[in-house]
Amino acid sequence: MKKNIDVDVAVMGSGVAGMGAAYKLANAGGLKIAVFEKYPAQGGAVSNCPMCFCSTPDTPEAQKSAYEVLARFSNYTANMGLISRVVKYSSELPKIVLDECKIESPMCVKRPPEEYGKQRGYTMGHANGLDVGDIYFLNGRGQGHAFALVMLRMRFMLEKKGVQFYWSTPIKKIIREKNGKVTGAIAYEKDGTEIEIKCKALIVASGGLTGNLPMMKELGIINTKYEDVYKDGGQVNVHFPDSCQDGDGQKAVWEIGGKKGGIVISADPQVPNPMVRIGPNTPWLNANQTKIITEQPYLRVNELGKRFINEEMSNNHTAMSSASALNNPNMAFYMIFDEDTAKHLAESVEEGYVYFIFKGVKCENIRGQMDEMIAKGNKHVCHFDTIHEVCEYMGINEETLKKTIAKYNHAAEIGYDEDFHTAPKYIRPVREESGQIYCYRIMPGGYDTLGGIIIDENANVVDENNIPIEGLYAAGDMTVGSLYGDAPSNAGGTVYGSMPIGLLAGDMAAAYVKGGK
Amino acid sequence: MKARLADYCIRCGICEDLYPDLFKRNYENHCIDILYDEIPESLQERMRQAQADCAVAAILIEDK
Repeated sequence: MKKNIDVDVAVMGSGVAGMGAAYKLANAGGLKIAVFEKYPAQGGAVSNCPMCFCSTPDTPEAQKSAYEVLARFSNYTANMGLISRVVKYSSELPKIVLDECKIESPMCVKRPPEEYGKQRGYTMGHANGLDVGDIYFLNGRGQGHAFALVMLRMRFMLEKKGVQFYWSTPIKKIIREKNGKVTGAIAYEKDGTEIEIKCKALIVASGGLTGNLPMMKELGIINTKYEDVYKDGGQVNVHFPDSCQDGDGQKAVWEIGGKKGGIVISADPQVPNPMVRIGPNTPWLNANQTKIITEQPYLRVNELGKRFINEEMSNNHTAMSSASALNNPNMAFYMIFDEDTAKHLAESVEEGYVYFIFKGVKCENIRGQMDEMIAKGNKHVCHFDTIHEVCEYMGINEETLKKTIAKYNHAAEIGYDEDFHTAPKYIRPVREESGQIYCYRIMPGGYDTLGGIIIDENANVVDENNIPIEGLYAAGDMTVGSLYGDAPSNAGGTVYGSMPIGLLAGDMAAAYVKGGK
Repeated sequence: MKARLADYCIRCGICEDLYPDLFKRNYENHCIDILYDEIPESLQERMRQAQADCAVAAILIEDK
């Protein structure tokens, strides 16, 4: 059996980008709009994370400053026209989230434009855009993050405006005519019934592919002997259980000639579960202080026993840390410190190296916390009397590590790190004589994969020759390579990039359909 | 006490992480299952707390 649906614009995916697109389409008036979602409910990756978002005010100074930061950040590999439009659309976020969705913002950090792009560590950008605007903190409901509520309220708002939602109905194919225009798509109901969607424009906003380990491996996104980490519940942030983010959108677009962009997992490297987070679903609910401990700017090495980054920049929440980790053997790196540092952390963590909600905390009984994790089956942490035992357990090259530690300790002594320029105050010697050596294995995480589809400044998907494919638009995490540069090694797609690109795609698709081209 | 999930539940799984004695993710049906038809008295307070903790107010409780 086959069904037919005839609409003006079809949207694939109901995350922050798809909902942003549907919002603009609905506001355009007079359009028949349908949103197709593989999952039985709306949301996307953003429902499980952001408690804040970044918005660039619509003033010439702020817009210019944000534009320049993003352009430089991308090393001019992004679409410069798209940057300008995204920065502009980001100014609409407070109106949508606070005024229309009625989400309370108890605190807004207003920042002068000249300071954009200058924060390090917590750029507030890990999931909310770069450091290019005002930061709005949000009150969610219960233990949830506020964007879950934003998404739900947008859904109700859009339903009232006549937008049709089709749940558990994934789009699998895009229909492109011989003349090059996209005129429809094929979706499937839960029972397998095929639906032929006829539409004048299609907006693909189906997110990343963190729910599809085989595809991530095939594309080289995951390349590690620790691949179990990337299954449900292993690396909490990599994807949310049962996320349905399986790369359907990327596959469908590539199949009809859309240009392939680079894809990366980005941001938020983590010590894998168990016993890092309380469960597989909630990256913000910690089982212990592992997250805080591993955000401290102390010695980090890879499996070869070599340092690879200025530890000041290796705060777990930064894109830099994750991006660097991707270049290490097995995508892993190791944080190593001794008993003296453990005692130091019991007094206080480093100022500026904790998430704001943990400010001022002390990390006491690190050994006990580790022992509990080990008892619950976590193989990614250890503590031993000697560096030899740590290397043996974790698989780190002992000879090189000992040399690295000797040089690192010397840098602490002379107050100068010639290799990575880490500030002397953060270089804490690692000595067996202290009584114990602690080690955490950390691997790249992220709320999604970023990239895969290339769009132009109108959110139009382009082909391999950079020619826009008529009638086909895309938005969200899958497109942020065009905003941040290819490959999008930073985080930030989730709200700052994704929703504004969704808004742009909605406006452009509405204009296209109404223009009758 | 009986409890059910509204159809707008977003399956974020906060309930499963915080109250694994009451909720479990169902991968086959892409939903969250409540583990009891009738909530035992000893777990009723936890169910009320789960309702308060839900991100989108999707846990609906019917008290007899």
